[in-house]
Amino acid sequence: MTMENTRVVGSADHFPVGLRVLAVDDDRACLKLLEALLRRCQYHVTVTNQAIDALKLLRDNKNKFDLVISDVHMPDMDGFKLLELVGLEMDLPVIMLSGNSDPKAVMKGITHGACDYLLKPVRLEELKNIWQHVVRRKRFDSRDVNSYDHVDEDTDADGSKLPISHHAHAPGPTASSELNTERSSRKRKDQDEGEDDDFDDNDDSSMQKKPRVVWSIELHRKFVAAVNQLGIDKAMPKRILDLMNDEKLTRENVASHLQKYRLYLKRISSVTSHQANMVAALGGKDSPYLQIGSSLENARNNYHSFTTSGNLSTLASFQQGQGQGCGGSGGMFGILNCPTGPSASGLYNLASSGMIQLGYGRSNNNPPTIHDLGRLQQSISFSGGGTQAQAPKMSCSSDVGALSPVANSFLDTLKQPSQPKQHSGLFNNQPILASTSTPTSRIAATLSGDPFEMKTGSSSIQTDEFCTGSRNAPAWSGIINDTWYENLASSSKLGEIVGRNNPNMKANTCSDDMLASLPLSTTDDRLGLSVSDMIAAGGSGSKPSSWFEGTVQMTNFNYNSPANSTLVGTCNREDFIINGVTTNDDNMVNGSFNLAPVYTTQNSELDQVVGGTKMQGGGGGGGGFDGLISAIVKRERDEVLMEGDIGCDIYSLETCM
Amino acid sequence: MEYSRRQLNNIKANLFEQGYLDDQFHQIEELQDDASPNFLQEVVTLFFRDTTRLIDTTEQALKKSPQDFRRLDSIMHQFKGSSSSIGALRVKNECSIFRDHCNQGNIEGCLKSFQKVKKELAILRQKLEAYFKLLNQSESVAVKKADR
Repeated sequence: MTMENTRVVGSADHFPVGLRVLAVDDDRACLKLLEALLRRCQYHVTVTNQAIDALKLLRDNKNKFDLVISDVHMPDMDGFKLLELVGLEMDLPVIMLSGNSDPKAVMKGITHGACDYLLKPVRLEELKNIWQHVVRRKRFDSRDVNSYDHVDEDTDADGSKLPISHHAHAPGPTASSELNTERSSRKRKDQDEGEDDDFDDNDDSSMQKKPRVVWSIELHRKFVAAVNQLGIDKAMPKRILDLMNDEKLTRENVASHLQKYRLYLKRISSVTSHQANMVAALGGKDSPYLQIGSSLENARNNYHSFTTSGNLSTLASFQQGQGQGCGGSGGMFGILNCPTGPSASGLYNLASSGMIQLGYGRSNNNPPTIHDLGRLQQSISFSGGGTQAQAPKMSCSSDVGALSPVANSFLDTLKQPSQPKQHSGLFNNQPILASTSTPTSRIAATLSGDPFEMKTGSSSIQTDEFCTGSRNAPAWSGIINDTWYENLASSSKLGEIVGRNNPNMKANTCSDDMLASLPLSTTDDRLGLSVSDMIAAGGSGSKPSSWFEGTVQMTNFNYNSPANSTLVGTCNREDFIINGVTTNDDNMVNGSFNLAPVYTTQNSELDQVVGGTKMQGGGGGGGGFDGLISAIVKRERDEVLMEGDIGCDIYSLETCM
Repeated sequence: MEYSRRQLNNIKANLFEQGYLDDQFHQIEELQDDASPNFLQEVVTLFFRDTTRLIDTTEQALKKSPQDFRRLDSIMHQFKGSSSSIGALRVKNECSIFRDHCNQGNIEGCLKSFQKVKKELAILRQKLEAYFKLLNQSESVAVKKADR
């Protein structure tokens, strides 16, 4: 295994100058002091006084920091907890900071994995030395990589877990094995499933000598293709890597990703077996769509099998009639399940769980493979739903291009590896399952004109996202988690969501190329309209991509816009209106924002909004301010909803290919 | 003006002699530079803002019955850390005493030393405000002089 060049920290030439430190302390005076001291050391400092924000920063930018310094005593999260999480997820060195010199506390820091423990008030001299922790880790990691290497070959074949003993016996200096033992002991504390992840995290850690690989959709597609070709059970990292033929990847990257993928499939298949039970209970048998979520092999088999099934012809005509959201792929659509039932509309005579239509990717000339399940469309329709007179219908279209739905939602899960979410809920009293992770996944739906009601489980779901629209989406309205939405269809704007209670509240959720999303849940409803999170994903063209206006109250404003989208609008304390969306490179926001910080939000970006015309971009894309706003109209609903089980997977949406 | 400069130095020396401030205060002064010309005042301002909040929190916690000493200790820990960071020596010491009382479950002691904490904080605040006022005045005067 070749060792790649050391990518040290910050500026390699003047190390430790430019060491990238994240400092966390809820005490603002201390934080300010710490920041100044770190700057004196010529480090590159980021500060936050919320542990939760710190975690978010770290998760969003895994390669952005070399070291974390954190206070022990914080209101929103125990410093030791943060320490644990950072160690597990990002494997960065963490230094604890405390006013407490009690040896017990210091010991606690050590056992939780802190690489150092400083007492307040912290002195400049101490901070000048903290870089050693970064270097130390790197050195030992490089030796560890060698030892991991040999072991990998043995375990990948059957995907079994790496025995701890391999760690402990890794060659290297005593300090290295000490580090190993430290890691091992941390592992022993982990849950079973987490263990492999942890190992892989170490493999993939930012301490490695190459930048962490970002598993883009393209890359993941290649990966999945390779795995498929080899067979999920027989796939080994080296061979996958060869098939993928990507220079930037290393065997470790692939190995790590493979293990995560396997875990994901395991999890999904346990979910789908539950689904199978559900559907069986409802009378729909042999629903191949259920197995979409399971292993690739199964899905592929099902795909092939149902294309020859009798069901296909039954619904082929239905398919043609529908037309919406299918785009013009002209491909064959396979239909998985087609139960029947009474309905106002002849097309949607579906009583049971649902059906999935599969189409080919647009640009695909090859015979269908699993990867061409891009045009996954799910139609879920329900008869006799709740309070609606007509048969409500909703079809979820997931224009994922050539990416299979399995791969897609897996990617989303990956983005929040520690918090995969599956939310069960009801769609017009029928059970559904949404797999999401925040903030990048979306539940996509093309709604077809009739009212519907969707409720996703418990209120602990904070950040589900619901995406509407595809080209030529018709008007629809419905209730999503007690929020009324109306979609004013238009051909140029792909779906607007209008707040019923407030006619001024609209949100254009879609652009030509990408779908934006609105979250389902609210975090703060003091004004009857709450804003929690919204991702407005702008389009790539020069058209205004998404806009949003209405009366909202901001709790967490985060807007992520790619290039060529701007945010225009005005907002004051109670009203927040954004009219159009465009950005330039400066991420200027046109308009005046005089949102007074009335609400104790935890979002530092809001402070930038106040009185500011300049927003700081975050993360990906072209900038703008990382933004999530959801405008939700609260409505009292007195419906009793059944507790639902899992009905089907709704997959997230990506750009059309 | 010479006079105000001397005054300033006197005030500062006084604060140190009487134990209101310790060397940590100097550390903060050192960190002030052209890039952050008001660093000292900013830090001190933040300190007083945060501690005001902590005072409220402590008062709330003290009212509870039965007493939650762990929580009180926790708040005071915060307080102590904060004070030590800006060099507020007397405040810090009172916080330590408070925590001792907490550990012994001595609510009377806690109440008494809390009063002291508040008092020390108020005195320090007063003195520092006077100090900064003078500092700002003398600085603006110096600027005017330089402009001439």
